[in-house]
Amino acid sequence: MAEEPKPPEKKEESNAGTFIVRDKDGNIKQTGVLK
Amino acid sequence: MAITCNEGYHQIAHLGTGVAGGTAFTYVAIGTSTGQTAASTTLATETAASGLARAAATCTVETTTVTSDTMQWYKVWTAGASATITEWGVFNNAVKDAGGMLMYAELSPSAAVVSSDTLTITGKCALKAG
Repeated sequence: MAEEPKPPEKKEESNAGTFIVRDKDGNIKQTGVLK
Repeated sequence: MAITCNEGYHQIAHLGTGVAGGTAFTYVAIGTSTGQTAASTTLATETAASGLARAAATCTVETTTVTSDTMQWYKVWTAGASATITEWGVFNNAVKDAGGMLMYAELSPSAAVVSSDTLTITGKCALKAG
């Protein structure tokens, strides 16, 4: 009997990051990630 | 996906062993193109626009899996002009397009800034077993 395929191993993201754009008053205009 | 660059492995190996040839990665830069690979040593188009040039980062050691296993770079740029920022990298040299690049990533989505906006980027690179 054929083995069922295993789900892909979940890998923890080791290289990662985030960014935030704020206006001159400090209000958040945009957020995003490094990928 | 953020990538660790070939020059980064080289330099970190030297720093980890004390063998001459490694320089700490304490500078970050941003740019306006994309598509760099592990073999790249520069951003695709590093910007030197007002307020957005390469600069020293606030460097700290953080924890992802094992205590103190992660390098972190934090920088706030204050734009002096409009720009659309699409890429980011970590370097061991203060000069634009110079030195080795440890890590490269693209911003998703791209960051649109106008004069007086701030762009804050926090990037991390964790050391992992295996």
